[in-house]
Amino acid sequence: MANYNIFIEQEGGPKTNPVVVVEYPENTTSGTGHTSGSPLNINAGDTLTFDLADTSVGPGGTTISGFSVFTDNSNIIISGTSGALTKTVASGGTTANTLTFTKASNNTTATDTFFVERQQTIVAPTISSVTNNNAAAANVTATVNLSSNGSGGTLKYAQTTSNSVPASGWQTGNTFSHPRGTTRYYWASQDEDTSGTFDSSGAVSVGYLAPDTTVSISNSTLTIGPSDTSDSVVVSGTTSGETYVVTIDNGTPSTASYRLGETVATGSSTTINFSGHFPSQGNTYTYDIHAQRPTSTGGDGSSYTKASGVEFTVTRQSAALTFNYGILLLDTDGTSSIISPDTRFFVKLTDEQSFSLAAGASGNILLDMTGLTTSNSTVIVLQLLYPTTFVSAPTVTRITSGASEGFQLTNPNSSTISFSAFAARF
Amino acid sequence: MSYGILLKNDNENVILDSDTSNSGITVTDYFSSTTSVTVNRSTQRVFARPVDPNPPFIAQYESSLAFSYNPNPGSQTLTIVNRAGTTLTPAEVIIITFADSTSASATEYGIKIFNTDNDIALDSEAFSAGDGGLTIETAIDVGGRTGTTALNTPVNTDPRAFADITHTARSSTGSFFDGYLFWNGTGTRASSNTVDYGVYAHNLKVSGSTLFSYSNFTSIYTGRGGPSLSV
Repeated sequence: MANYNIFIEQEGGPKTNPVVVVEYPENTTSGTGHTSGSPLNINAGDTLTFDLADTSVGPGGTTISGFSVFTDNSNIIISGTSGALTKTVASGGTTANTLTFTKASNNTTATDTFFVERQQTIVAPTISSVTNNNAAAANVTATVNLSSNGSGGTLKYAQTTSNSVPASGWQTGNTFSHPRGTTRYYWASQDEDTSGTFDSSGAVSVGYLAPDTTVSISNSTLTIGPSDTSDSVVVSGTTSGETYVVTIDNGTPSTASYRLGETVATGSSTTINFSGHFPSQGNTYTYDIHAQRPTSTGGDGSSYTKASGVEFTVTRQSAALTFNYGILLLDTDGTSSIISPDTRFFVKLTDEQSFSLAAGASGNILLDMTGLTTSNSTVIVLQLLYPTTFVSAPTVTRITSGASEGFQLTNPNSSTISFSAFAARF
Repeated sequence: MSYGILLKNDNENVILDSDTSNSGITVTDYFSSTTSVTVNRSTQRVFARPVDPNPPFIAQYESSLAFSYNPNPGSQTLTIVNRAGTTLTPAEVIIITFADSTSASATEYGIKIFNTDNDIALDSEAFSAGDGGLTIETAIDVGGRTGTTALNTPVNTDPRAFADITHTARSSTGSFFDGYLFWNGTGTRASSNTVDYGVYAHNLKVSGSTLFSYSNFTSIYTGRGGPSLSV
C-alpha cells in the first residue's frame, strides 16, 4: 500500500485576501494530480496525507472537501494546529474524485483542486471443490465449485492439462468435459489474470469405472471327454457391453495366451467358449473369470478385473477302457491298467554299454534299427551329467544299415569323455 | 517274428517285442508325496511331477525338480530339491524298474514275457499293486534342449505331466551344473513370466559368475501314470 504526501500552501489574514495552492509533490504545482486529465491513480488501502507546507503563513486553515472514494469521506481542515491528517482509499470500482481546497479570509475565499482516480480492485474467487457427475462414459462433466466468487471483474473459469494458469481459453460457465483416466487443472478468476488474482483447484484426476464382476456360475464343475479340445461356461449376472474372459487359475489375462476364451456380453447371461489349456486325462484344472469394461461406458478398455471367488473347474475324463482289440493288462489289484491299447511303453532296447571317447571319436550301440526313428527311440546316457570340466553332450546319429547299424555317439569336445548308455524305445 | 509275442498300441507303436533282447518296465513304486527316493540309476528311472499344481513360487511362478548333486552310480538315496537347490520340494513320484534287472515272479498268473536273452521283458504280476502304469507322451533326444528354460520350448505342454528326473542335478554352492526340469504351472504368475504352461528343461552350468548354456546329456521323457491315471 502506498502513501502520498500532499502539501497545502496557504496565506491570508483578517485584512489579507486568501491564497491556497496544492503542492504534489512538495513545491510542485503541475503535473500528476494537478489536472483532471492527469489524475493521481490510487488503489484501495492507499493513504493520502495532507499537511501545510512550511511556507504557509497566516491564521486559520484550509478546508478540503469532495472526498468520495475514501473510507471516511467527511471534510477535513488542515491548519497549524491540526497537523497532518490522513485519508485511506476504500475499495471499489474505478472512480475519479476531485478534491477541493478552500481558504477563506477577509470576507473572500480562494480554492485549488487536486485530482485522484481510484483504480478498480480485483478480488480473486476461491475454488472449494471440483465435482463430477461420474457418468458411465469416456468423459465426465466436471463442475468447479466456489466458496467465494471474488469481485471486481467478470467471473470466469478455465481448464488446463498442466499446472499453469492459462492466458486464454476462459469461459463464464463452470462446467467442463473431463476425459476419464486423465488429470486436469481448473482455474477461476475475475479478470482472466495470470498475475495472481486467480485461484487453482490443483490436480484433479478422474479414474476409470471398474467392470461388473458381480457374476456367478451355475455349473462350476465341468467335465470334458478324453479327447475334447474346447468347452464353454455360462456366466450369469453379466453387464451388456463388457468383456468376460476365462483364464487358468490365477492366470494374468493381460497376456493374450492366457486368455482361453472371451465374449462380449449382450445381456445378463453370457456363454464363454474357451480352449487351449485343458487337463490331461483324469486331471482337474481350475479357471477364473475376469471382466473388462469398455471405454464407452467409463472403463479403460484394456485391463481386466478378476471376479473374486468365482471359479470353476474342468475335469478331463479318462478314456474308457473298453475296446474290442489289443490287450489290457491289469496289475494285481485288478483295476489299475498297466498296459492298454493307448499305452506307449518304455522299453530298454539294449544293455548298458560303457564308452570312453577321445576328442572327435565315435562309438556305436549296435542295434537293428528297423522301425526305429527319432519319433520312437532315443539314447539314455548315464553318468555323464556331472563332469568335472564343462563338456558338451555326445552327438547322436542313427545309422540304419551296414555293420555300424544302430546309434552312433560322437564326442564333440576337445578332451576325452566317458559315459555309459543304452538305447530306448517308447 | 517267428515266435514269441509282439504287442502294439492303437497307434502302431511297439509296446514290446519278445523276439529281441527288449526289456520293458515295471512300476515298482509310487509316492503321492515325497522328497527323497532310493533308486539305482542304472536300472531304474524316476518320473515325477510337483505335488502342488499351483506352485507357491510367486516370484518365479514355477516348481522345479532336480536331485541334489550326487554323482555316485548304483543305489543311492536322492533328495528332490527346488531350482535353488536349497529347499526340499515334495513331488509325486513313479519309480520304474527295467524288467530285465528283475526276476520273474514265482507265482503263475497274469502275463509274463521273456526276451531272447531269457530275461523277463514284462511281468504283469511284478507291478506294484494299485500304483498303475506309465505311458510315454513325449521324448526329447540327447542334445535337444539347450540353455535356460525361458528360451526353450516345452518338452510337454501339460504342466501336470510326469517327467524323468533320474539324471537331473542341482547344487546350491560353488560351480555346478544346473540341470533340472521346470513345471510352469497354474499359480500366480509374475508379469515378467511369459513362458506358457508346460514342462521345460533347464541346462546351465554356473562357473563362478559365468553362465554356460549346454544341451541335455540324456534323453528327456515325459508321460502320465500313477494310480489315478489310466494308461
